[in-house]
Amino acid sequence: MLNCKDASRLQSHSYERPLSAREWIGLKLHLLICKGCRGFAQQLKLIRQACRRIDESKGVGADAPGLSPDAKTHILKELASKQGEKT
Amino acid sequence: MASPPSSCDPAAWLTEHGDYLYRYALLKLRDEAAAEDMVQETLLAALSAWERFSGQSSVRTWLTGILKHKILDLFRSRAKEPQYTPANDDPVAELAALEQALFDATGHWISPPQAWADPEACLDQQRFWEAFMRCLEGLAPLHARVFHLREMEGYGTEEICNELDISSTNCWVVLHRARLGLQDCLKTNFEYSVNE
Repeated sequence: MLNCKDASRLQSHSYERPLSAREWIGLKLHLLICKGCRGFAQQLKLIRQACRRIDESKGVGADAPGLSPDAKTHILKELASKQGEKT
Repeated sequence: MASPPSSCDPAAWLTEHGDYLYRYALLKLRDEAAAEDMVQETLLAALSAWERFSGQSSVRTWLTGILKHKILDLFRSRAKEPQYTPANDDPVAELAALEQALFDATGHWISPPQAWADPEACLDQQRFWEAFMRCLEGLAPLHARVFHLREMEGYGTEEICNELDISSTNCWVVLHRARLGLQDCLKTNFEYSVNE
């Protein structure tokens, strides 16, 4: 019988590769009887959904610090000199 | 419909999208200097490629696409530099250490994850995102790199292994370690509640 540690590994692996029949059955049986691992399954799903949405969400934290003024000045200078080359 | 490309104005790109691009890069690279470099390289590349920008997507989406390529290039080149992939970085041992903290001697959860009534509701909660971003930032550099490529960029495990020059078994181990760590971190930093 699988324990929770093995079951959590299999759950994670199932996102990366097809499980063997034996692994799959073992995991399903474990999930039937284990509430903690069902909770973990839910968390894995939520983590994946959150990652998929990160770009569109305020996820890229609008309140997080942005570019420093120094960096901006430097980048502007580089852009201007490159633009100068082009024209 | 995206608005047609207005004009080639890199200074405006920097003003309007610079902070966004920087945060995006910082999230992946977790290195402020490298993130600044990435923004600069992205805007310089955008300047050269402006004629090819079709206006099919927004300028921000276009710039973000360029940034993603730049970041992947950086990961590729870093994978070849020893200081970013230390030989003593043993993913299996690192996973074992976390498992020891989360599971008892018989392999059962010490503190079992709770099942929530409506997990997706979290995605609309600012609180959740704050905790989630904090937890992502807490990932070790290798974990963060593999996890981002897999979950945010959607690369296959196979491709990531090749790019970063690690075995597929280690790649799975790293991903599992990252997920286990994230769920544990969320448990500590986010209290589930739907009554908001």
